[in-house]
Amino acid sequence: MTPVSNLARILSEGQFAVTAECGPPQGADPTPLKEKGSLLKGAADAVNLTDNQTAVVRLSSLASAVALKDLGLEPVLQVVTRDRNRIALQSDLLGASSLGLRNVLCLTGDHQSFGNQAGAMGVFDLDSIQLLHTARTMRDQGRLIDGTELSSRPFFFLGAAANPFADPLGFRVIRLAKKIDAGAEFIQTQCIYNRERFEAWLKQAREEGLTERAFILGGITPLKSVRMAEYMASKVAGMDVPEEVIRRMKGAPAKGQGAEGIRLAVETIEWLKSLGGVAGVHLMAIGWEEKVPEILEAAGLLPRPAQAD
Amino acid sequence: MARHMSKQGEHIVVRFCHNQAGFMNLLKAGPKALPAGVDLAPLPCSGKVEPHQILSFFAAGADGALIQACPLGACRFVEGNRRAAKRAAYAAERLSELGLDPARVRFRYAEAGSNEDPESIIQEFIKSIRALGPTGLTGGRRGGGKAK
Amino acid sequence: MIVAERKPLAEILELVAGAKRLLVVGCDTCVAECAAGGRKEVAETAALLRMAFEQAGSEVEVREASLDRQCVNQFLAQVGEDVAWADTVLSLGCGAGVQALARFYPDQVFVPALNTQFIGTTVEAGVWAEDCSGCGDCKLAYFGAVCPLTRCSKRLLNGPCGGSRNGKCEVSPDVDCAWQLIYDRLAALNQLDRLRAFVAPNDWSTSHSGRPRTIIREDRRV
Repeated sequence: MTPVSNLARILSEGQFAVTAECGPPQGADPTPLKEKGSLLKGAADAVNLTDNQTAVVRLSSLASAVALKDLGLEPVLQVVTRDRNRIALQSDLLGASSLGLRNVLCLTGDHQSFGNQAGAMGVFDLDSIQLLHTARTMRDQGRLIDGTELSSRPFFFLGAAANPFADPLGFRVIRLAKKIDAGAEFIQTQCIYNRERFEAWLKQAREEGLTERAFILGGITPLKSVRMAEYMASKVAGMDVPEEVIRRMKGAPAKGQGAEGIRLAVETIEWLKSLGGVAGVHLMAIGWEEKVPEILEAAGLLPRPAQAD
Repeated sequence: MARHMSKQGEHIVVRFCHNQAGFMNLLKAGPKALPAGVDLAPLPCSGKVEPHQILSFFAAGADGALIQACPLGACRFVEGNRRAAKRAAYAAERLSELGLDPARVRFRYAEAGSNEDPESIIQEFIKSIRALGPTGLTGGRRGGGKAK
Repeated sequence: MIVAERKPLAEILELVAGAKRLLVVGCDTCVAECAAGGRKEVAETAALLRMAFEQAGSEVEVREASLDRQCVNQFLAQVGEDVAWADTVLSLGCGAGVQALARFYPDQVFVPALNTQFIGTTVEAGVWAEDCSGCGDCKLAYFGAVCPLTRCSKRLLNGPCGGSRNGKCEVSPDVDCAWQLIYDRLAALNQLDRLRAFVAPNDWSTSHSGRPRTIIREDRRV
């Protein structure tokens, strides 16, 4: 099947892919987003636009994706099921495809209690796996999930998130399999600090044949400081930051912590490249987008393959 | 519930587990042995006391309620006294929502192996309630009285 | 049972403001079990109200009553005299009880004393937890008798999400991750293969989302 997006093409050609992430602003003017986006141009094969991440209201991922597409970047549209029912989700998927957006990452979303609208109703009409199934049904059968025929089909390259570090541990690879069965073609993982645990998960995935069926991109978030490392270790659900990583950050001089975090990120990318079954890297440098080109350069991943038209 | 409201006196309700021998003797000595305004009665177990009873005492005009339980670990019904402690605390919390001092409800475990004098325990409680003053509630008259 | 909690006293006082003859009526079924609206709670609430009224200098007469259930007409009929006497009735029943009273006595003012919350169980003395959200299409057989729609904060049918940590939900360490519970139960029952299968999107039309629901049994109608 012809790859429908630049990201899909690069992955299907067996090249080590790079995706990055961009958080839209808490306002109606997309300029800050465009500024962040332009830092990533030429550095990433595709850029994720988050969907009201941590349940904080932001410029919609759909509008943000169009803004970056107009700059010549290829977006990955993130869609959460927390805020919209199946009517709105299917409608938005049609809308996304009509605007030329192809990469769609299907997520459940952080609970609304984390955000700034804590009294909001959490919709959760569908979960992420049902959303994948829905998008694939629309794409491959040209139907909505009730069976209604579409007048024209959308085109998607479908993705999902995977967390090798969340509980229950024994179930994580089964969940990955379910996502791929439901239609996930590429996977972006939670950011990796615990290599041992990631390798164990990857090994299991490989044994289940999952690395053959979907492209797995390892998540990387460069640590800016010891405080950030400690915060992520204790306050963020589903995050695994081993003690030795925190010690390493502490070992760096106060002004050099960021540089140490970048060094660690580069080493992790190089290690990922060496693992069999990893198809690329997903750089989540939220608020630190300007460092992405530097990290990729150091990891030998620049220049990126040219975008086909 | 009897109301021995004396002209200046505080109205105190005292409930105790009947296993408290000292208190039982005081009860048997008759009402004249008690300070004015004290309503003393036994319970089969301190755990028999309930928050709504404690609050009803205050609604009817009590200024203080003292609950005397058996020593910790010595409850014949294993944990009746511990439950009573929690219920007393709950009732005290409800009083504080009305702007009444929660110290008006006193729960105490008897001290194991000691010969406590019930009269001094009661007198000490009366003193503390006197310091707080009356609640200003009379309760006896339906339709309410003037509050302070 | 239906589990509820009494409203703060300040709110109740606001709701009954202006009453001169107040009837406080409880229910001795679910809300008695969860210590919110049984006869003891009626006595407690009445005592608190009497004190509050006296403090405010309001002359209010307060009567107490209790019904076995506030959701069945035959019981509601028992309290007619007290309802007629009152100018305001404070119901310590669940939301259904308050509304049933109001339907049975349409000329009276009924005010809720409780915040009704959920269908649940007494986990241990003093602890009540939510178990069922009345989806109208019970799927407990497929999830080791742990309801994912009710006990998972995100109602996932293909859970868990990535926020499950040490068996707790990302929303709060006080909330168990339902999917950890489901996983553990199915593992113990040797039914883990149930979790491999895709669970299709739920049909919410049988739940409250569809419409307020009514069940009619002709064989039971008089």
